[in-house]
Amino acid sequence: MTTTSNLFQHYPLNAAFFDEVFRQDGQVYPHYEDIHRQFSRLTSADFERLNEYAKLSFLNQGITYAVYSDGHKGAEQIFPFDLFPRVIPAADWEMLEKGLIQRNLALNLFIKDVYGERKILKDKVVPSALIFSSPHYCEEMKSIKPKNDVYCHISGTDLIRHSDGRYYVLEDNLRSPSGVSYVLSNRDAMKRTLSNAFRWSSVRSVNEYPAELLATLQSVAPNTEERPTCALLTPGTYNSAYYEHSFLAQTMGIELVEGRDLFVENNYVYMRTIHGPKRVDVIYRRIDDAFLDPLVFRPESMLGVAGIMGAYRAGNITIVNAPGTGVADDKAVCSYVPDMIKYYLGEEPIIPNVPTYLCEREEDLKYVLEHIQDLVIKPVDMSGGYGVMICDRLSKAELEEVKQNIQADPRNYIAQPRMSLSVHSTYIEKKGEFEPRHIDLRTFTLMGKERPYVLPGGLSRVALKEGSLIVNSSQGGGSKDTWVTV
Amino acid sequence: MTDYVIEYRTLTEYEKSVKQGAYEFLIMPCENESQMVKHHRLLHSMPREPFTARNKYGFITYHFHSNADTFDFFSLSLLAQVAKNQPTLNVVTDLSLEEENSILEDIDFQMDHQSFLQSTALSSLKPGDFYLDLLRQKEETVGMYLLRLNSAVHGMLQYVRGSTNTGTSAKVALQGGSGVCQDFAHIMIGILRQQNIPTRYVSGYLSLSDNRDSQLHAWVEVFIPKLGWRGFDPTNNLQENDHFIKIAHGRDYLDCQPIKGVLVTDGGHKTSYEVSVRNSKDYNWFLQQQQQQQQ
Repeated sequence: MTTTSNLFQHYPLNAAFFDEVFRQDGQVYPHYEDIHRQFSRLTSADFERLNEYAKLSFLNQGITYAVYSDGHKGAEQIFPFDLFPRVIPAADWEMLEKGLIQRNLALNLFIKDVYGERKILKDKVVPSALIFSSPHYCEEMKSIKPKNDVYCHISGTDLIRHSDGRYYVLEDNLRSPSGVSYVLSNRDAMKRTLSNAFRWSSVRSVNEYPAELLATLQSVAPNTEERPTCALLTPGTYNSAYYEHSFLAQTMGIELVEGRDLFVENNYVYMRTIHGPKRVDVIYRRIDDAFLDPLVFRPESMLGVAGIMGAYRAGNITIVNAPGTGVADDKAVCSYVPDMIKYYLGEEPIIPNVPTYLCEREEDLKYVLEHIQDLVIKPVDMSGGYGVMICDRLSKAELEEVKQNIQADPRNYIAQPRMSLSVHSTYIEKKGEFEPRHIDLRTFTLMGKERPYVLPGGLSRVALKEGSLIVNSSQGGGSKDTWVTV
Repeated sequence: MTDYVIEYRTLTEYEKSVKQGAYEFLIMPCENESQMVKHHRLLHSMPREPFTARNKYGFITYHFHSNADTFDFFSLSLLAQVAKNQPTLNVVTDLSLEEENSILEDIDFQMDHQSFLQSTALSSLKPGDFYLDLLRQKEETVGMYLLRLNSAVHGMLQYVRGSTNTGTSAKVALQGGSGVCQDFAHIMIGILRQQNIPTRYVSGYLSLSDNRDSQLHAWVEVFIPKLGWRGFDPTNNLQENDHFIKIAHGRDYLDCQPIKGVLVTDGGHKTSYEVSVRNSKDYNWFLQQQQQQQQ
């Protein structure tokens, strides 16, 4: 047994990024001292053994995801997992939790307003063209009042930590945010692997999530005399998130159904069971709006339920999340969330957005043109991700062209500074030691009837390739357990 | 006041049995200030009774959802007696041009009527697609303009049955030079919405003077400042009157499709339908006819 560690001996510090674990002077932040001490005692052989054990834990639990791209459809893989947990001190988390609830309350009020009175559009706080050109705007929702005015019951807010050490919102996911099952299974794997190493009592539990989710679903059920029946609607076993669907249904103790298991009669939704039809009150659907009801949306959809929108309009079923919430999670709309918070809540945003310059504003335009090299330019129109220009990678001629395009149609462009994602010590198998890798944080907020809940921590996603900023699992991303201290 | 007996009949025959199907019918005359459904009866070949639901604009649809039973054909007939009282309404107001424009340009007005100001794939037209003098002129009030446009759109296409289909856009119909009622309606919608004049697509029944067998018809309703919605039929260069029995309105044809169906079957199918609109109070006589035909 060795007493000196080599797992951190080559660990590089880079002032350009915020390192979650180490200060610039090489000292460990207080909330990481315990873990760092534990890992420092290990040799790389010890750690390798733990790592293998953790992987086995995932395999044994059957926690895999499907990748479509590599020729063979739906090859099951393990989501790469890193044993060094990300730790968020209680005080930081308290601020984040408040900020997330604030943000999601405002977003929910915004969605209600868009499908209702449209005050924020009439007051020109948010440009209406942005809303009605969105492919996620859902005209059906104008005539539907979701139970308790909750549209966005489940949201996933992605946060990053910039080089200034502050948290920023990168984007909102208001449709079917996925990843929460990894949070629970990461914790499980950590506990199995390092059961004796830590004082688990000092880490906030995540195991309440399924119970909280079920309570959220039940809180928005239509008025029923009996206990409401909830079901999780999945596109089926070929969906990349099928594991999560079955996991959540199982842990909540509700039925996992496909469209063909459901039918509508007299504006009520029923599921077929071996005991005959059973009425369903709440559908947690993990299929897109376009597939929900073939009589209303895409007629060729075999995933949805014919007539479900009529049942929804009649108030006999609650659909979670409501259709049309995507209108608020567009990147261009995202830049207006701080304005929504002020408009609806009369509060200052607790978690800032990544700063955004709207070129239609004269002073912003001036700034953008003067500092274009430091900025990322994004077209406002709805084709997400396309046309994004990272200006420090452009030639002089290209920069000039971008400037001309912006000046010709300033309304159509926004600009943001290049944000640097923070880094976190991550075990690199090939090198047998820890190195910094970029991470972000997907948080999960539940909004039931007067019962906001934020899952303590969330999914810390890590870009395993050196220097990479892409944390998506399909492109070499992994994840970490996320600890919120008590 | 005029009484009509309206009959809508459809028959679909399937090559292979249908194992599972859901149908939605939007064929029932709606009720509003100018029309009332006095009686109606629905006969059909399905083993289970339909249920009704409201669509997104509040119109009643009939739903047939078949889960267990298989069938080779589906026939349906709706008989309805409707009382209609719609004199041709004035479309010209005493508002000045400035007053009209300030209403149309008001953001609150635009947000409240956004559904019928937004262009759709079927109705979208750009100024280059038609002669610019079809736009409202500087000195023209909305009412006067609508009368002129209704007549102009009437002259833009030749009415030829079968020359277009339900997926034909206004732009394509204009290029082809011929079309049917929904094409006239889509063109009128396309021209008006881009000028911030709210316009909606209307489906319904039209009573033809000589009692011939008719078809489902389409026209438009336009929001005139101070007056509200007024019906125009560019296909016939008419204003809405006693002969127009409305079923529903929407943004374009897709919101007013009379039949929507999703079904599981291996083969093709053949659908026919018939509509008759009779100027009559003798509902009972038609009831007997309907019964015999359905059998």
